[in-house]
Amino acid sequence: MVDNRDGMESAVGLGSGIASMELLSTRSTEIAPDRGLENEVVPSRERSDLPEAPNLDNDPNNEFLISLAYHDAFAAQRSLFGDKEIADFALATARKDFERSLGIENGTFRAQAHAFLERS
Amino acid sequence: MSKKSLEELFWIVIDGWAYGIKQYPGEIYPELVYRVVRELRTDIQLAIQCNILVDVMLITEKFSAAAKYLVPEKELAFNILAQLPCPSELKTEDQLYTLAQTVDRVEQMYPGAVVSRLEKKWQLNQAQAA
Repeated sequence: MVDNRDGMESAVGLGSGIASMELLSTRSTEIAPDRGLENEVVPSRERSDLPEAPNLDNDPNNEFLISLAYHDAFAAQRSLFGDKEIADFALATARKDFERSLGIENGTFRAQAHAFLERS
Repeated sequence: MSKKSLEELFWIVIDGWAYGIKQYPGEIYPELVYRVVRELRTDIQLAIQCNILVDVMLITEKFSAAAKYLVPEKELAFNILAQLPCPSELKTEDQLYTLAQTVDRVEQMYPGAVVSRLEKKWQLNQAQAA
């Protein structure tokens, strides 16, 4: 059998986190693509309490206000997750920032690799 | 896209995750890094299929440094190894050769600890699939 001391136990049940990671990655785009994470304790709220982004298209300060509203929504969202999900969220967001800074999109490698395999 | 460009993209993915680990606002813990490694499974398998050598020790080094050396390196290396495709899933000699080279580099680092464990894991996978 597998020797747990060497971490090979993770081979069993692999991939279970990928779907949730992709979901969280999507979530990071929908909620606050460029917001960092803070560590303050957020009181629990109901999902229905999540504020929606205001329609401030004609407001000269809209960017600032929208960022505040998104931050609030993000903070409330955080209270719905456990630590592990927050960690995934943080990593997915940081990774996206990194890839965006290089001018590539999440999933570029996978898409190009599939194309490469189809050609060969 | 050439194989070389694809290889560059693969390492951008690795660097992206290392950046994510490094920028993580809380305290790094092993399971967090292992979760990232599991997320990389598809990328690692595609890399082998595209005949890109996956330098497990280099990935280990990058992630370990990003995690401020809070994760045991051997544990991390073996977690990455566990994401490699089973030989029976590979279709060409080149892919099998790439896999063998990938494993061999880690075997050199941890003599006697790698191949036997991987073979057991692959046998287990095949038995589960059957």
